[in-house]
Amino acid sequence: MMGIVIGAVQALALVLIAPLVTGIVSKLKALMQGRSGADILQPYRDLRKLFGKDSVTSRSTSWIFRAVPYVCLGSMVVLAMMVPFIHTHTLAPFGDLVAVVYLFTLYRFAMVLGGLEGGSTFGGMGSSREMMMSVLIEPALLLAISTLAVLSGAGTDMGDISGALSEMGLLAIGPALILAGASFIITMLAENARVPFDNPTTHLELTMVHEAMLLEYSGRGLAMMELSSMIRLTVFMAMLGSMFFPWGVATTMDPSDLLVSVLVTVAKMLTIILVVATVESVLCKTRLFKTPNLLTASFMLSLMAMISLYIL
Amino acid sequence: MVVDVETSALLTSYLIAMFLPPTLGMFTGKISSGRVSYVLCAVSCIVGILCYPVWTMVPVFEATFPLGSILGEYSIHVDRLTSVFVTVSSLVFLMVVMHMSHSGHQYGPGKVSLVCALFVSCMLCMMSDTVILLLIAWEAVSVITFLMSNDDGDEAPRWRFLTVTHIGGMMVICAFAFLWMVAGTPYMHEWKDLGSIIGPTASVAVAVCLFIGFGTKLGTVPFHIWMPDMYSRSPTHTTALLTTVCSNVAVLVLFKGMFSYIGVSDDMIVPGVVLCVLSIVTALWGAMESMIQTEPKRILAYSSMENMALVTMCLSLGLVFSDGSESLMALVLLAGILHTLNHSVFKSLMMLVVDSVEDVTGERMMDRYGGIACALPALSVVALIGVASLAAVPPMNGFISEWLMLQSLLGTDVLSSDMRILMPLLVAMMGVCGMIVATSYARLYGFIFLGRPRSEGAARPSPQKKGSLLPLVVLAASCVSMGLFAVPLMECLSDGIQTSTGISQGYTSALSGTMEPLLLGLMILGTIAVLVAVSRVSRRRRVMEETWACGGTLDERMQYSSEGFSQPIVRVFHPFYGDTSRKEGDEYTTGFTEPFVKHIYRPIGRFVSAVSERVTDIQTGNIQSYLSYILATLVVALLAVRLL
Repeated sequence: MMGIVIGAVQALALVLIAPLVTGIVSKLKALMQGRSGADILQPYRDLRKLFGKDSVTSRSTSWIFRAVPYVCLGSMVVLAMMVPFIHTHTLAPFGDLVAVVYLFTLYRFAMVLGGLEGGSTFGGMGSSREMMMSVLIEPALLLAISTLAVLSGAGTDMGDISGALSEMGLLAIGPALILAGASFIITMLAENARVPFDNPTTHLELTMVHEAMLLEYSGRGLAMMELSSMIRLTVFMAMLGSMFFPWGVATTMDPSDLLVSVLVTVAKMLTIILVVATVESVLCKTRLFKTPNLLTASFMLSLMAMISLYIL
Repeated sequence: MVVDVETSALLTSYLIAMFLPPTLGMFTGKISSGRVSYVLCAVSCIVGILCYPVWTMVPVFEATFPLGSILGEYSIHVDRLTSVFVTVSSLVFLMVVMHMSHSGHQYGPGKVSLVCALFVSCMLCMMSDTVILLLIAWEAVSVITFLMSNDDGDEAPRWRFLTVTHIGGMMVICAFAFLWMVAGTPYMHEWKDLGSIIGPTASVAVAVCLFIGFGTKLGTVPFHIWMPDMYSRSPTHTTALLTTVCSNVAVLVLFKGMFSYIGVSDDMIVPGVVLCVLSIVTALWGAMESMIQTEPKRILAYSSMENMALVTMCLSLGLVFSDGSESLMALVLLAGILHTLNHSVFKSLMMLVVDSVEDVTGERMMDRYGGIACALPALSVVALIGVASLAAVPPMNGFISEWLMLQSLLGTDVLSSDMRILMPLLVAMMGVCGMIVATSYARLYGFIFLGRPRSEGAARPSPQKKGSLLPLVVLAASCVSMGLFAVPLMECLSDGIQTSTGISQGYTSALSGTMEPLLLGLMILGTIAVLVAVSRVSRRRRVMEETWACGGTLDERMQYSSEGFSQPIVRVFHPFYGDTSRKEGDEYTTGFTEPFVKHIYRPIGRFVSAVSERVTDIQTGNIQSYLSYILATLVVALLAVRLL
């Protein structure tokens, strides 16, 4: 019973802090660029505004266009329940890492179909580019998390992996973890349409991937798509924090453990946010057909991580 | 075992109900434009669906037909696995036949008889117990599909199909004849573990013969060469049956041949690895080819190839894992078998969807569709379920079997296998394949159903015939329910696999993760339902406008094209595809010749032609020279017999 409460609380926390995380990233980027930037709570205001707006929809869209935001947001909320964050106990007796990776596929599949709706050129272009990147991202993601499963020897359930790794202590640090972690960071940037793969703040649709797919959305639909991509970023950060560097994550119900875990998790999240903001400030968006090089690197890193487990 | 009168009466009446109507149906093809045959075939399909319940009711499901041949009698034997296969295949067959009766205008009236014949031969092939019946039925399947595939003027694809499947058929005949000779009994259910009798080399040879033999039907590289043309040129219902029911038959017999009749041993590991690599190459090739096709049917052809390659990968992994834990082997075989059944359901659904779309629009190229979801929302819903299953999106059935495959690659027991180094590579390849395939289906769906219409036919599709949606709905419902209620199905199949192979452990102990398909599905659907309900509380207005076009107006060609959609992937995987765009005069076209055609089949063709040219030199048409050839042959033969 306690487990369910913990699981529910951390899933809720993941969803609720998602806009805050995005806000902090933007604020840090602004500070690094010498601007004062918007308040860190700005994403909440943006979302509230969008949720309250009427929407404009293309005449040539069908029911799928209207269903896509719900599917995207729904899959991300389910994902938030399956990922260990503060505590290794998740709300997910129904799925494991394979299910997690395939839920990302569900999200992407829905979004790509949404991009093809409306029959504009930009949506199709965004969808096409997104799929090109995902062909390399998704296997890397699968391999990186699978590496952890094999490394921990705890099976493929997300919470178990995190718990087993943190119990291994420093013994877990080895080539496999480092390679998989490096791959996962690249995957995180690519999957969440961050620089150097995509620029979420550009004003030219031609240069965009993720935003190009959302071009036809407005009002509430846009709000849901934006919220789900914020949750996606936060879920990735949570996975990085609680699975690739799981030390400090609570494995028991002891209140002091939980308190430590909350503090450690906040520190980890802020560190990851800082890394993302720094990467975004010092790098620029690469040309589209240069991104496969980096993605292949991520893919190879995770493959080597997994192979190293089997031969070392 | 004593079989009491009641069950034997049940069995007899069941078999009569199953085989008599389609046998009659073979002769009624021309009566009232085939309707009688359709009904007869549908009746026996329904009887076929009952195979599993009937199997549970009778203790021993076997019978001998009251006719035989010089090579032995025709008898059948049904175990649990076979009965599940018969049930699912009959369901698929029924739906295809129902759809065909609505829109089977491509067939002449006589062709319906062939459908009945195909049903009989597929079912006999799955249920057969004697070698001779199996071989006759298997041959009949090939020939009947060949006869059913005559559509437009181009005869080449179906002859290619016949040639390739006969190469495979020859291998199957060799393998089974050899096993029959060794076993000494024609009853296949008595064949157990023949590999230990025939020794390692022979058993490897037989296993490879079976694999390639059935692989020709399943599209294993490089024998897939008949598939795309055959799929695009034949009536859709023929290929729908070919890719689903016939593939089921092939996988079932292959599975029994490799794991029940020959049996596994340590000698099989190396051939297992080789076959596994061949399968994964096939899967990748199928996936990548399906990306660049411009005809929906060709996309489905290559996707069949990919799916069946995943199945054969599982079967060959079964050989690889034979030295490790038994439960891991049970798991990987279950993954393969389940994927076969799932594939037959979602692939037949997609075939029928594509047929319906072609029917209502009168177009057959991807770049002539678009926006059909607005005109035919019901069709777009079932089609979405189909592509979601194909793309292995949770909680559909395709996801469950891919989950099982990945579980078998990630299981902790894998570490004890000598071939464990293969596993990360296979996980990676499966990931890449899965994503390319998902892209390919997003493309298939997106450019048929979404966007704006690209042709007159797509803009104003003719209304669908009443009732033609029913089979699609049933198949879509099966996709969803085989996903949500996968666990009972898995348990049933696992039992069947254990009895056929003699594996003592179930698959569950090899699982290293949890999966509750029903709960997962309910979580996803429940969350979406809650979100919809919440947003209903305070509704906002929705204004309909034109698609944003930077201030201009868009005509039907001014949108992303399906060829453009796949270009980024083509560029990334450039070395695999080679140069696909060509410039002829002022026109740029994309075209692609398979390297297998270029580097294997064309040289063979050239060689055969060259040899034939030479042979014509001695064919003078002069009776004296022919007589002298005969004389020379006789002399040589007599000398050879005498001297050797």
